[in-house]
Amino acid sequence: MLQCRKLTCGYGKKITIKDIDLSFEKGEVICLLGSNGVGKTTFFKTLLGFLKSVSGEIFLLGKPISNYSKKNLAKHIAYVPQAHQAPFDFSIKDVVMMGRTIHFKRRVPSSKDWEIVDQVIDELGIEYMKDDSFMSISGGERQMVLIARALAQESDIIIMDEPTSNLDFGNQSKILQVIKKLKEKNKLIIMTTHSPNQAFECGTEVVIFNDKKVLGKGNPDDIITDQLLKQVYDINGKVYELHDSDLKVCVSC
Amino acid sequence: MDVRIAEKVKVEKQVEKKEKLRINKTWFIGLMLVLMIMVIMLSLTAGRYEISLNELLSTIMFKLKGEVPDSLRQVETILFQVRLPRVITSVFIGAALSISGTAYQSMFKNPMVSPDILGVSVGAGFGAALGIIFNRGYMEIQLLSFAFGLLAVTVTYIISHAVGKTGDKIIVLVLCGMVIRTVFQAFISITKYLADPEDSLPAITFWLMGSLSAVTLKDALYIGIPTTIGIIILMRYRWQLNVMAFGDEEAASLGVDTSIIRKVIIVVSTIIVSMSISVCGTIGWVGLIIPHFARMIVGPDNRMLMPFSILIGGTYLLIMDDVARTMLQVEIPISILTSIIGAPIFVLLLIRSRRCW
Repeated sequence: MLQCRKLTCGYGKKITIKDIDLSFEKGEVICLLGSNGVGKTTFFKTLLGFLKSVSGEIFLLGKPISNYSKKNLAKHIAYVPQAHQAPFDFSIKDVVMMGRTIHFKRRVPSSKDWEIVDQVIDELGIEYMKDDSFMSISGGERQMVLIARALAQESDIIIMDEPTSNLDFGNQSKILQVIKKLKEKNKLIIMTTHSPNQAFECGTEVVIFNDKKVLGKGNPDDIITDQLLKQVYDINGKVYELHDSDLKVCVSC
Repeated sequence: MDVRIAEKVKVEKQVEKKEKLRINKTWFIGLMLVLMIMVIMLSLTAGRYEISLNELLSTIMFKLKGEVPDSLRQVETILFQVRLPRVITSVFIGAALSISGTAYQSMFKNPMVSPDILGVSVGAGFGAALGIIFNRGYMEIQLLSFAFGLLAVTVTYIISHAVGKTGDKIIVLVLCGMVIRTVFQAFISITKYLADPEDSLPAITFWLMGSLSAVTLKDALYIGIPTTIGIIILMRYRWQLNVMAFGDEEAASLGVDTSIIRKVIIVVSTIIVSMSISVCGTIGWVGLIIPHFARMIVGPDNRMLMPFSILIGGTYLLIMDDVARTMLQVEIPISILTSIIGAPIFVLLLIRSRRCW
């Protein structure tokens, strides 16, 4: 559904990703791993059309994304940024409604749009705060609201930029549960993370960026190894299998 | 069975709550509209020649029927030749400045900007001064003031974009506006210095201070029609402006083409602001404080905020103009009044809304 062919991206002369070929299908949760500054964010910005690719092309449903208008691209790809502050204090419902913008018939929300927003809010279990304001809630709740906004957009692909950064352990786990749920709805999720454990927990596939290239792509259990931790993060980490489940975990040192 | 009933009750409650919320906010707008009409009525009666509310209403009734009795002739003349044009014009100017301020604040996701903070007013003032020293006609002065207003805000935006890659973008944008304002202020001083002290110097000075005293019905239409069109265009983007408050990249990912909308809004706002400047000078603070004030009452959603700012802004400037023409024996230039009153109001708003916008 989404393919990168010989994709090179970066800002001007600074190339961060060079000549990579990747392809993603529906129903997958792709976890992008790599050290800080390896170009994950640049790659995302290129996928989302914020940055032009230096060379190569990204194909969405067989058509290059540069042929899509912003509106059409938004119908297929939704973006969940890291939880952030907003300059103005909108209500949660209004923020979620912003995801519907591309679907408006007459420039403002219709009653059908409100129905969908209510539905998404119920689905994520955040109805208790739907009349609160965006600035009054916690970081974890804000991340939930931004995910709700992406869901209201009803696109097949959701791109998440470190959805669990700055969140406490409980909230991280809640977000991962939601991501698993989205996978069941046959969406394609592409997310970055700094924790390989999250790839074990909810990823169907990992993509490892290292030194401008894709170092590995495939099932997390096969790809993430002691040797890889050394190579990517430069630590002597170990990968253990938990004996009461088939889940793996990474431990540093 | 019970579950289903409970479910139904829950849904009904939700609907009720939603309706309530919606009514509440629309209520504010209705209330403000009534207030505005009342202020308009009072403004029509106030002035050196006193007209009672009774006289006002009967004159309007007679006028609508077509025939005004001789006893009310004088009232009619004052009302329709002098006061009504002035009242209409000040409402339109207040509305224009406020909605531009509201649109700017949402668009730049910055609660501290307005067309005059970003240099539109001073740029437009320079354009007009230039037109005056070269003895140009009214239309050309208008065009020059629009062109330089647009130039000023564009330069401000480009510089802040270049400077503000990192750090606090809100402050950077405001500071760049200050720089550009200072530069254009210097340009205005040059035109004043070069101007003929007998003839064009007083013209420039009075033009910059502005006055609504000589406004005719034709002027009122001349400013009213484009302002109305401008307001309609800006209102079309009310939801997209909400989305733009989250920044360019997020807005783009939500399908909003920010670069086109930003251009349209800057051009339209600059047109309506420079039109109002050409009538009543560089009126400060209105475009900054009215959106703040309105946001405190109805929240940041532009679907409510924009119409509400229009109503509050129109009413506010009308009251200012009433004060300008009735407080002293001579008229006080309205731009002086709005600055003297606007500055302390803004400080109050800052203190009140320190937590969030």
